[in-house]
Amino acid sequence: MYWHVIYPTLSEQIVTYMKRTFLGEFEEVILLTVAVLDEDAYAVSVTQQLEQKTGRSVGFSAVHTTLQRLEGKGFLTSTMGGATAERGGRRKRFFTVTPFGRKALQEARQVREELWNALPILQLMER
Amino acid sequence: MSNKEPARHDGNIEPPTWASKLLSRLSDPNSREEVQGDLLEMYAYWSTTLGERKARWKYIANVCKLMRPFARSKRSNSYQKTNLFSHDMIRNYFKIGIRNVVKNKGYSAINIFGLAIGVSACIVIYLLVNFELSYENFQADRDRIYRISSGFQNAEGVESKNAGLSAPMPASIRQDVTALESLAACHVWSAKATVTSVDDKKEIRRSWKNDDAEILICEPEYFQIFEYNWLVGSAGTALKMPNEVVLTRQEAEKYFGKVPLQQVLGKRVYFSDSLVTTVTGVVKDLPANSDFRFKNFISFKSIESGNWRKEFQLDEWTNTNSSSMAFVKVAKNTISSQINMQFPVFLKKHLDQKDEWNKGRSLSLQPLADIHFNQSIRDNFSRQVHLPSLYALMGIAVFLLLIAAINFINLATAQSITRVKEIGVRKVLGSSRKSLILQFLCETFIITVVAVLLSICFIHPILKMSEAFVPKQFVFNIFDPKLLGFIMLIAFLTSLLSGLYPAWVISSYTPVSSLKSQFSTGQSRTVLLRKSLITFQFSASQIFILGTIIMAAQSQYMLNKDLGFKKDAIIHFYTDWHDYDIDKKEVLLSKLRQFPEIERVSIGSTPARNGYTTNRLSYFDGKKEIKLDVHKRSVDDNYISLFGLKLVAGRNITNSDTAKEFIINETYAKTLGFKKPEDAVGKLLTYSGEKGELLLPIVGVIADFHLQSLHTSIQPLYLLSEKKYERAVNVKIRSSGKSATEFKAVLAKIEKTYKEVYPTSSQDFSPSFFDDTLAKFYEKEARQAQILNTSTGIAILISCMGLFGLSAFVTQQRTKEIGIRKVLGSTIYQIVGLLSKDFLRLVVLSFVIASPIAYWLMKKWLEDFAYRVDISIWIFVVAGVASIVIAILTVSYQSIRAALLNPAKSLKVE
Repeated sequence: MYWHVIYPTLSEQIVTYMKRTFLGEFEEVILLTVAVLDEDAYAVSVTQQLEQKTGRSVGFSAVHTTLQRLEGKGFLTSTMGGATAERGGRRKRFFTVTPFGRKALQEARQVREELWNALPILQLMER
Repeated sequence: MSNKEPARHDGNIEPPTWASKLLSRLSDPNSREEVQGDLLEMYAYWSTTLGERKARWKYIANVCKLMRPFARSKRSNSYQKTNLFSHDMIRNYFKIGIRNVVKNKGYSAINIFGLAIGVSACIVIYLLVNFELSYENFQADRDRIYRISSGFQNAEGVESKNAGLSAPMPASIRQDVTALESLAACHVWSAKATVTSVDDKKEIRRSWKNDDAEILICEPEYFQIFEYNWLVGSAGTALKMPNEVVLTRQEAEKYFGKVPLQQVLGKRVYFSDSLVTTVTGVVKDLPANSDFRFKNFISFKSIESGNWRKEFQLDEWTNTNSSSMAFVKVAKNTISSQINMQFPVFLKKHLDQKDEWNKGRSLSLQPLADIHFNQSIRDNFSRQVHLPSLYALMGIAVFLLLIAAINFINLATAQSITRVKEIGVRKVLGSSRKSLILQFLCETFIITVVAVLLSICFIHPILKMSEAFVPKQFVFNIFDPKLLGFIMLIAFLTSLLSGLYPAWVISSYTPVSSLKSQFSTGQSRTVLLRKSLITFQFSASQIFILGTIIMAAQSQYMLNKDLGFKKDAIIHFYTDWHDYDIDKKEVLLSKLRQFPEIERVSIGSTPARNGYTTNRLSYFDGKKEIKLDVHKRSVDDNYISLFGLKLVAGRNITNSDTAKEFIINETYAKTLGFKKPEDAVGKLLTYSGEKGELLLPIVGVIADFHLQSLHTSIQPLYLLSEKKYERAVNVKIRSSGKSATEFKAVLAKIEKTYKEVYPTSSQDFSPSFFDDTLAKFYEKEARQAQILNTSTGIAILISCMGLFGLSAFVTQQRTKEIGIRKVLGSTIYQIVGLLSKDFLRLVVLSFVIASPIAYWLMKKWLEDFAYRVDISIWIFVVAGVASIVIAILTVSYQSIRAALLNPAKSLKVE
């Protein structure tokens, strides 16, 4: 296992700053899945994992573009894997979460937890 | 289940090949490999979980979504995007634009000036066309207002029209024809108006001529049909009684000065010294864009009794005078054909059907909007315009603007070579093509705006200069919102038209090639376009030049053509309209004959007049009767010699009070079937005059002469002596007294005599020179020629400015080459030739293109004339040589300057 850490370039940081990026729901789920899959995260595995875990059908193209977008935003980084036998010899692109991505995930979780904590327990029970 | 089986066992099952190919073609190259692989894997997965059919669908759908335009744009988004329309960028565009305009002062001046001329021509033409097309558009019910016009069919079945109708008709139409909301009978009248006022106990009389269709005798319904703004009085009460008059505000001020309008009520106005009227209302004058310029409205009841009834022929069912009209407003939701349908029945009921003339008569509604444009229905008050001329004018405007825009395009694309480096640097620093295009459009916009502002300053002088073809009613108001809108539209369109292509070309240079290599003459595509634009420009100018020459040739031809009679030093005027006394005319004639300065005097009609009178004559040649509507001229025995007409057979006419004998022209003799003119002499013609049908002899035949303008061919004609109706006095002055002052003295003498004979004449002595009368036939052509002359001048000027700028530029580009050539021994002539050759070739080419177009256009124009010049070769030679000379002069200034430059200097230039 190796960590492939690339810090976002200056211009990318500016872009994210200017766009005031925050994680969308789908983005967050995908980012999490990539983190869960660890070394084996590529578009197909992410799609299948998501379908299995959520039980709903997930569009492959949506996953693919989201992965690219997340990479563009600097949350993910990618490397090409080795040649494979089963898919016409074509290589896979493996994604890993960058520290920036981890930070974003943590922030998202934190926000959620704060909101949950703010919810009175009584109210939860009543429902 | 059977679908799933193969998928499970056979790993090689293939998704649709076309979709895979599509993907390999159109997916983003950066992620192509893994996407292809991923999709294959997904396909296998889908086939196991969903079945092959669904898997195939999903595969195709995902391929489509992952193709480039949808999945990922071409442009990388990892760079900062600039908002093209941000405040800072726009400010920057303008700043750079202004700097560039100032830097290239010469080219900017050419561009601005050329555009300004083109735009101002465009605006002036817009103003005129818009003015003409807006006639009567302020009348609220203009769609329901019509004029009842008459039609006649002559013996040959040819239809002619008259704006008026027989005077008794309106009253009967009101009774017999349904679906009319209101109807008003009117007479256009010219009469002297007199107003008296008391000043210091003395009575002062003041009179005005009012001979420009300013008086309308009308029924009160006129004001229900046409909306006027009543200042005093009301449409409901005015003009109901005899001897009432309603004035417009201007007219009231003219008669009575600037007094409160209430005081004008009840004042007296005398028309033609005998019709006394009282002012019962004042209305506001109609706007300038109306043909209804009447200022005095006299109640119709005033002329329904006494002598007036006869004078206005109120009981004459057979005469039709264009000044006796009827206007109607049809009921709502009625179409004109519903009323036109009723007219044949009406005419059958009221006209004597035994008279053959009556059978050919008809009535029809003419829409109000048609009055200003329909020249086949002439009247004596409206200023009609020729609609095709207006369209031609609009075409000219578009052409002039195009020529100016082409200048801009050519100069800008040529000049862009000098800006290649700037563009390279801009692109390297991250400028997008869009922002470059915007920047250049801004530059164009700056130039256009300056040009438009300049052209607004030009409008007034141009209108002043071209007074001859600007209608005198036209008022120019720069703050007219419609005009301002049009000017803004023109500014916008012109900047797009002239700026878009250069901007596109300039922004297309790639940074690498633009920074690396020197573009010397631009890309070949641009050069080709530039050449074709120049060709277009010069073709347009040459069409203008050819048109001008041919029009000039035709008008010279018309003014100088032998008309078959003499026209020099002849004046004519009319005797008093109301005075039928034959003796008085005799006295006048004999008095005039005593003057030594006067060679000859004749009374009758003039040989060429704008209007005409025809009468139906018939001749029985033993087998059949030949009926014809024949032009009529009243003459006396001096007429033929005064106008120098040629008597080819028989004798001169003798004076008589009523018709006694005829002289006919050769055309008529031929139509009647006489082989030789002599054969006609002594034959009898049936003529219907006041005393019924008469058989009168032909006593002479004269050679053909032109009865009307050269638009029409020579028609059959007869001359007769009918002293009672002869009013036009023709005086031939001895041409020895040629100087203007002597002529004036003679005129003054004649006037004095006229006043002696007619001391109480209601009309002034107003002589006209026969040459002028003839020239008036061709007023329309003169106007057209003037417009074309101006346009030609502008077109040539703008094209030459463009050529000048372009040659300056090309010469500048080739400074070094010229220097080297000179050093190597080229002569000045060779260099000038080298530099001018390219342009001259284009001018010659455009001449080849322009000639057939101009030939065709002018042939169409000349078809209007029965007598016309031939479009001969020399016209084309002159035009071709002229444009080549102009082009040489324009280009050679630059090339000679370049050729004379010391090579030591030119080679230093970098």
